[in-house]
Amino acid sequence: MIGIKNASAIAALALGFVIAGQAWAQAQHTPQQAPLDDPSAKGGIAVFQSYAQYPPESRPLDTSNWDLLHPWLTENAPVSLVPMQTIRQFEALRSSGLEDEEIAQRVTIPSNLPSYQFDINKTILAGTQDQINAQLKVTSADGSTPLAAHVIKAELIGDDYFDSPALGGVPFSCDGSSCSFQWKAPSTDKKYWGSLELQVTLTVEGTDDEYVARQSFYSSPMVDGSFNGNFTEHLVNGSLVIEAGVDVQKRMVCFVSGNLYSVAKETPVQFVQRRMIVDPSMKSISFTFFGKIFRDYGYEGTFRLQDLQAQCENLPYPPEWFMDSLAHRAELQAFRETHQPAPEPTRIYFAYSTDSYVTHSYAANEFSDAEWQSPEKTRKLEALEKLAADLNDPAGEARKHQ
Amino acid sequence: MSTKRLRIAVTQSENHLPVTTRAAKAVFMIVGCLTLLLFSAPAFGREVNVLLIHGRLHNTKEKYGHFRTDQSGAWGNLVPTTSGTVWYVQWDAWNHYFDDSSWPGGEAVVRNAIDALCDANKGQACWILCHSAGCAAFEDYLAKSDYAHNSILIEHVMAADSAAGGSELANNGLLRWLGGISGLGGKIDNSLKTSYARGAYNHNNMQSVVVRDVGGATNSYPLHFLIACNFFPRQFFGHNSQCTPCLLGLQRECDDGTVALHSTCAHNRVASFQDCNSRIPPHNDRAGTYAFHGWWINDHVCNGDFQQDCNWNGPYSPFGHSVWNSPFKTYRVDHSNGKEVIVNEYSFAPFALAP
Repeated sequence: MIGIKNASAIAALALGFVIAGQAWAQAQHTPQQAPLDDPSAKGGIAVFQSYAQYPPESRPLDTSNWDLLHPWLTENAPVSLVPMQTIRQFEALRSSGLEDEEIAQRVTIPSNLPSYQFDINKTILAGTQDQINAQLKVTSADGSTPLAAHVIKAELIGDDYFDSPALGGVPFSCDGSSCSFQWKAPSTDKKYWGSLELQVTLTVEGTDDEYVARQSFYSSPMVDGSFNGNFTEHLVNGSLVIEAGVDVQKRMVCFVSGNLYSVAKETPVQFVQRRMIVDPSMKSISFTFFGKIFRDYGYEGTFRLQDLQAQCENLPYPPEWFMDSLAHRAELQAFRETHQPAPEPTRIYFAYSTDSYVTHSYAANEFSDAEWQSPEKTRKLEALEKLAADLNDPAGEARKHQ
Repeated sequence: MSTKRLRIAVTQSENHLPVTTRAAKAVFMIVGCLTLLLFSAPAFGREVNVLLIHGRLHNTKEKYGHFRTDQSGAWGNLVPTTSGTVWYVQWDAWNHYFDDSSWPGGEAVVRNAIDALCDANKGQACWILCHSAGCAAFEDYLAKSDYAHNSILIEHVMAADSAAGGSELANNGLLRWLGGISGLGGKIDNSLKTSYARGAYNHNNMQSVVVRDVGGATNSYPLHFLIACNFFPRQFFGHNSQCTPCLLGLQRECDDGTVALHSTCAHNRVASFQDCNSRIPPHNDRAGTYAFHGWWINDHVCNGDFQQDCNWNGPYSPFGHSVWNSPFKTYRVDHSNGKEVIVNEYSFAPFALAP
């Protein structure tokens, strides 16, 4: 008994030393900067609350969302045509083991190189009916003067995944300072899959040099399905739901998206993107345009659904594992320890669709102005609130610098 | 069998000790446990993990997954100061694309690390520091994830020299090796072509996770006239003096030697930009920035909290200050030095922002 009492005293003493030591450490390590204006971390909560007014799948859309309004295209900026002779000189010096600074000193870069730019209709091809239309324009360095180009050859190069195969010539025609190129995948052969590159070898008026102009795009000659042009619509809890008919070939994880425009104003209104497993048994995919977005942005009347796209993940394991990787961590770990699938391009699309659908007319008050609510949202907010409380710990600064 | 015998032997020997000695021993064990509890990182009920995701590199000694050491040396000797735990997320950036969901592709390795280290159900929260193609891998993961619906908790992302929008050097097959001189460590692959990188995922779908970019705009790297003036977008009368002057100074082009500002600062189209903009509330850049992206860091709001004026007024570190180009929200760093900015900034930032 005496022993236990003594031990308690020792424990209390030791604990006191520990606490005092920590306090001393905090005093020593706290930065001598001005105190924080506000050490709280409520910001993350506010951002999430603002974001989660609307469901993650339905987002407001406006003209500043250039990328979402052009889901098949990445634009180009003009770049210089560097003479092949200069490139060869660079490569020879590099092969000889020279440092880059030395190379820079030895190679003279011609000034005022001509520029080129591809004006292209799209940079993602989906299916064998989809076609690239590219127009090559060559100008003086400052872009002010069009220059006539003479195309020596135009060819297509395949993806690194398949050892960059030569995929043959690309038809073209030239008219003055611009040349046009068209290509579509002749079959669903894998060699036409992935990141492809159009390479155009040319000469330019006023120079003796030869140049190569390049334009990349992604090709998915095989498709996982298509939109079939059948649409239905209805209101569900004050949100507009449009069902788009589909024909699905294979069970895959897909990101299915579409844009909604106001017909009267010809302005974008909402973007929907669903993360889902598509299956051959499916007849349609629903797009839910959230009621509160119509209300908050003052939209009513008829709307047009367009820009339909389904981008699917080329996975070597079941789609369910990707959809909920937290729940399938063990399976994913076991899979990677026993399987080494050959690398392949990552994306397969639904066939390119120009389908669009115009809805009935809706009055603003037919849409709900209620915020998105879900158990997941509540749980995420709780987690953020707890984190904010933890980060509000006055001892945190010292702990960080211990 | 031998284990059982050992346990019995220990028990027997303890039984021979005097009572007071045994009590003292128990007390010391309790004190020891208390000490451990007081000094361990999760003592305040939270496991903070800081994940460093590297860009494109080639190192055969690197294993893939998440580790406590930087096996490939991708981060040099840079280690952020934190109350939490630093993890190096290592993916096969040489043979796999950033959006590859098969192991050890970028998306697959990042997803595995985040599932293991950032689950609020396990008391975890994450801060992400990424570089170049590592930022593309992270964003690809996040955009394709179920973040708004699941228990993953990512509080902040610091993106150095992000290649998420691709690089014109990757577009240009003949000069792709030039990326090696300024930080990518070798040839740039197809996944970093501008059309590929921008088409791989919805860059807006960060699901409320804020990505703060450190965009390098400098003319202090080798061959900058060749690279900047010929392969990156440029504009007449650009006014960021840190960028490369082209066409006798009539044009300027802003990049870090490998990636232009349209990518490093998350602009939503390929074009010439002189500065970084923000769509982290209350900012709402209408000129074209992906949602939930902004610069590091001068918000006059708390973590993006527009309902209070918390005044996050960085940069915080001496190094960050020395390279900060305030009017343009860019940094005077090349493609490698962006890593130094974010690691220093994390270390010097207030605990509430970067614990």
